[in-house]
Amino acid sequence: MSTAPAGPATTEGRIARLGYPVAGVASVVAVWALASGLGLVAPEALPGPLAVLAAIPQLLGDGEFLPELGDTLWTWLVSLVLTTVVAVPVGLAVGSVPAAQRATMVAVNAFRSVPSSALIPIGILIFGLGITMKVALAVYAIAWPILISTLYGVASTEPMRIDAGRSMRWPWWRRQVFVVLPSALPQIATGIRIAASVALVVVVSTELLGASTGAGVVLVSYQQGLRPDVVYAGVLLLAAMGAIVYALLAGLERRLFTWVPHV
Amino acid sequence: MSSPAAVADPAAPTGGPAAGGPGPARPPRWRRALTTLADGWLLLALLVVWEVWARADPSLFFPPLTKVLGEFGSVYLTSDPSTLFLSAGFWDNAGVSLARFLQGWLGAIVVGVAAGLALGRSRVLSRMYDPIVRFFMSMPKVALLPVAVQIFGVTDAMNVFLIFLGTVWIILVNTADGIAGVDESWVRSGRSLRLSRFALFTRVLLPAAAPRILAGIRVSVGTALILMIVSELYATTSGLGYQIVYAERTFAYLEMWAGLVLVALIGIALNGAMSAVERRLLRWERRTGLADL
Repeated sequence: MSTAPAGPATTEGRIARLGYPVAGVASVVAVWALASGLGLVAPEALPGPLAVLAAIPQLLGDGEFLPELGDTLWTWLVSLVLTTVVAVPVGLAVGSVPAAQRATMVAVNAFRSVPSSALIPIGILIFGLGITMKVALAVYAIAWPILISTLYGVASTEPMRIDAGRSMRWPWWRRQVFVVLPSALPQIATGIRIAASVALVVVVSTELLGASTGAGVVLVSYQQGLRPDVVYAGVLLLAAMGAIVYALLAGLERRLFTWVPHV
Repeated sequence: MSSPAAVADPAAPTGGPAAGGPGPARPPRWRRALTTLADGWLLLALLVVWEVWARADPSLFFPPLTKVLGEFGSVYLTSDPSTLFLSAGFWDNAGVSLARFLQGWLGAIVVGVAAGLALGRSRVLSRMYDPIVRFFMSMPKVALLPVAVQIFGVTDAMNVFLIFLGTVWIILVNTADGIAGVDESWVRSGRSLRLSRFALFTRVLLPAAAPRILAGIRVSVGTALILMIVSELYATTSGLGYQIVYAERTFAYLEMWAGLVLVALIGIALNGAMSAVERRLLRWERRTGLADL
């Protein structure tokens, strides 16, 4: 979202900065409360905000959800790191060979068009219900966006800089690491941020569809126990987790890539 | 960057070489199509690897590509031209799935672009609802699947709801960003020409923000497909995802792979169509290198 420039550090500016978001959130919660309070939606479909809020401590306290949430988070992290470590060097290598570049794009465009969720039944057959299956499917889903953004990043390198490296007789790997990689990093980071949200969706999907561990498994069991308030509370917590990780990634990006002008 | 001045007045002599149309260096269309075809060698090589691997290490779960394609042909293709050579099995399952996809996705485009316009034009609204949008952006929407099943039961509405909810935010954010990034002087010029509010939106704001809006819509195609399949795997009695999971449960693994091939082809076709639409709508935008693919 476009963030408006921060107002002057006056009380008025502070009120404007805090007041608007608070009012916005309050309006949404109010509509939610009204809809459930007036019986516009059935309570088993959408419990009121208070009921969902009250279910959060219950969910956190049941001794099962937090470890499972940790499991989901761990799977997510493993697949992100694994894919990044493999896909970025591959992208850098392929990107430096013009003949391979276009062919890779064609193959990648074909593979990424396959909805990764359709592979879940096959992944379960081949890898079972454990973490291997979850990681394998998440890696399939996010390898393509990371590879594509690496290729785009490589392609956007200023040719003059590569020539400068060449004129200094830098070997191929040195040009890749010290010229191409720094120019491509902002694009790569964008790809990783997109991949992060896709990976979470895929991991949670596998948990809904049969994986033996993870936060999604807990949500399904509460759903079957007819506790929609707890399910909503779980979804809220997952979203909060996603938002925190997203903010961390964005902050890391800003801190690490100081040479990139930020708009 | 694009040269959006060309949107407001395509006849104006602009400096950009690509503003008026294809540049002089662009090869003819058939030639480009041929190059793209030749660029498929890597894809072909990977498919051959699949075939060889599966034959070298036979597994019930991982059949060779040729067998999968044979099964695909016998399940989804017929020799009847009146149904476009596609069998009833195809039309029953793909038709149901695509109808769900289109309802959810088109709904998300309409709502997302409309809400994005509002948030992009109003600083107050965008400040107010920024936290909500961010929240929904970072929420793994698929986690709502159990609830969606409870609300709607095992009906099409459940799938449509999930697809809508999963794609509307990315479209909204991109639209709002695109609209907020429109040069204010163009809006002022439009106003000074006494364009009506409606004309201002359709003639100035939407075209100028179109690259961002279409980028969001393009990303949403992939997400919508993922959610369409997940929701059909989870609970339905028809559709492509159901076809796959049913084959799995009845140990018809070849049929399961054939279903995957069908889903893959549909995904490739939809993404290809989307890029073609994007390229057509954004022909004024200068594209070079990989973006041209």
